[in-house]
Amino acid sequence: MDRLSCPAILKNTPKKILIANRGEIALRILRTAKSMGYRVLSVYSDVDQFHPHVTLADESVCVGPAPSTESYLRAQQIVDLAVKHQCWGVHPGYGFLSENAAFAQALTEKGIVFIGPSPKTISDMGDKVSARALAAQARVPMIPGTQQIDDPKKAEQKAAEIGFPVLIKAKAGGGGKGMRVVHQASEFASAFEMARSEALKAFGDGGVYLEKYLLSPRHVEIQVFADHHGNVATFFDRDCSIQRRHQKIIEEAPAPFLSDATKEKMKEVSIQLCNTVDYRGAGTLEFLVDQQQQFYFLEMNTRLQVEHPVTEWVTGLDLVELQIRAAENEVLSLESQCQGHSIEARIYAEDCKAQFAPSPGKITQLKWPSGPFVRVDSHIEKGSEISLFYDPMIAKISTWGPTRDKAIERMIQALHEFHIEGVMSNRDFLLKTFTTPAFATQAPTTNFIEKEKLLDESGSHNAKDIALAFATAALSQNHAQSSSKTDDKGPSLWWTSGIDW
Amino acid sequence: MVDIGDRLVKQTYLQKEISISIDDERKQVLVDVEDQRFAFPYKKQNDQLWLFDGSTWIRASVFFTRQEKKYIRLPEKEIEILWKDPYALSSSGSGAAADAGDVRAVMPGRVVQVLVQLNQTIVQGQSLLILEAMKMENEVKAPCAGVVKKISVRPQDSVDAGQALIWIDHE
Repeated sequence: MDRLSCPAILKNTPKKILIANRGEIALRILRTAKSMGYRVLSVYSDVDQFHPHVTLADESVCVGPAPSTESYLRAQQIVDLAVKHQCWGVHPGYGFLSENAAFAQALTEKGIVFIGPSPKTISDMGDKVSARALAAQARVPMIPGTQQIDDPKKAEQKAAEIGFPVLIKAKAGGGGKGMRVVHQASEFASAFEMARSEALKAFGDGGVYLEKYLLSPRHVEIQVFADHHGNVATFFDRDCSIQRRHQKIIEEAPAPFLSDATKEKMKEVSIQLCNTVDYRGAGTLEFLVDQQQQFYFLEMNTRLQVEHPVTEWVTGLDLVELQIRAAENEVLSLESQCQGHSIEARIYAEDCKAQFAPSPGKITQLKWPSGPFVRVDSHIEKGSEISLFYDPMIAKISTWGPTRDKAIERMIQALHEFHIEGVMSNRDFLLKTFTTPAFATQAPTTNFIEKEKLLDESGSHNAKDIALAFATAALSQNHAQSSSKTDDKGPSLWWTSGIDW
Repeated sequence: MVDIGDRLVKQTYLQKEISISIDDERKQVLVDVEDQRFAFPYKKQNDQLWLFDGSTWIRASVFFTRQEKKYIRLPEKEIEILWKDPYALSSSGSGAAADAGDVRAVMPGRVVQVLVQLNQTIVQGQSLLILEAMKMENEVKAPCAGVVKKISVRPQDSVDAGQALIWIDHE
């Protein structure tokens, strides 16, 4: 990889990058941008004012109140800010405006660099119907399905041709939203109507299409990267099969239990698609892989993925740095090697036993894991508030090892060390997943959680653990009671009789 | 003032009877799970509570509380228990000789009026405050006789179920 001939940090007037995001990803982008010598302008909503992506920035501007539609999603306001503050470029992160072609277009028209692919590529790949057409043109294998279909009778006929189970998907959907599985013909008509009205309500676009629904497939994706000079490469593959509520929670690189021949074919078609759409920057092609290792293109994400750290671990590359250098029009040599294995676990503030409902609240105690080959991506600190306005992700913990087993062992140790109080988290659930024997020995599938019954009660606890739990509850109640008494009566006898309290 | 240390607290876990008492002198917590007895030494260090589980000191923390559910983190696992607050008086249906402590809101609502003052001596059953909940005004009554030692709410305050409203103490 070429070094920057003249690091921006040594230049007199460093260029400025506006980070149009929040949370861990804004912080992650800030770290690379600043270390490369760029000035960083962060935007924030009222409730995020003291988040690290703001406090570590060179400049910051409040863009509105907590709801993201009134702050982080206000494209025109952010474009105006970038102009007013003379920014060189805007990094959108993931989510929010990252796949908003109009936003990228508006920036481009003002002479500001959108750190990502061209507006046309974003809109082509963002619209699932046009994405499928382009993928077909690049001879990327696809799941049998239809283009947008509006007529219920025709749709039902098509569904029968494809064969049940069939998936009805919103044209403008994503992230697991706007999908409906239909298991038999008799359920189709009503499901179709519901899917259309849901799509209209959720996305303002009632367009839907049909797809064959694969039973227990794997979710495998290819990381692609292209500079602006026709160099295209893949940075290997990731497996993101373990999901809850259609959202990934565990990701790894490279994809385990997948033949080299299959990976090679996936790489080939990914590069073909990038060439077809003149792709630039970082992107990801998502595939479903069936039991016979047949793979089918799902969609392309024209941005940095949440799970990019696992690719960074196995390649040693900094993907954000490469994104910025590509946006700077550098000619990049994109050779890379895949070394060892990396796993990422997404820590969410949620109640796993209540359908993974978010568990908002204030973090009262926090201890991050550390140690060899452990990485924590998080914006959360003790005292931080997990609000219902945003995704309740607390952190991404990732580990690396020379082998997959080693990476898993380190992950288990890291999760044991991680401690959080004030919200419920999926920590215990993740631990259970990683320690399930099947995780180490089989290819994970998208129904892994149900198949391995990971949500079932894990039998009864032994008497000693129960005793410890009640002893803890009694002590902490007494502690809280004595603390509150301190106000008017001074410390209680209970604790004054203790050591140095 | 009542501490758990002064008496035995009874709880249940999956129909098992649990008794807990804190031995202030020896600095240990005694727990009986049916007929098995456990004694765990405890201490407080770095603003954290610690328990000795027989082989190592473990951080004794309730990492999350929701009404009567408490979630406890042990080194290898998390345990969810039901913890009947021995101080919660207003919600107890027993009626018999309630003890001093917090008077808590039974349901979420809004404080309309506080009818007592700090240090006022009250009798059992006396109205303490008026709480509007489910569009109705409810009188919250004293579960026991005593002295008002703390008033934690003011008119117009919104309160959650289980929130402490007034502290009554035996004088």
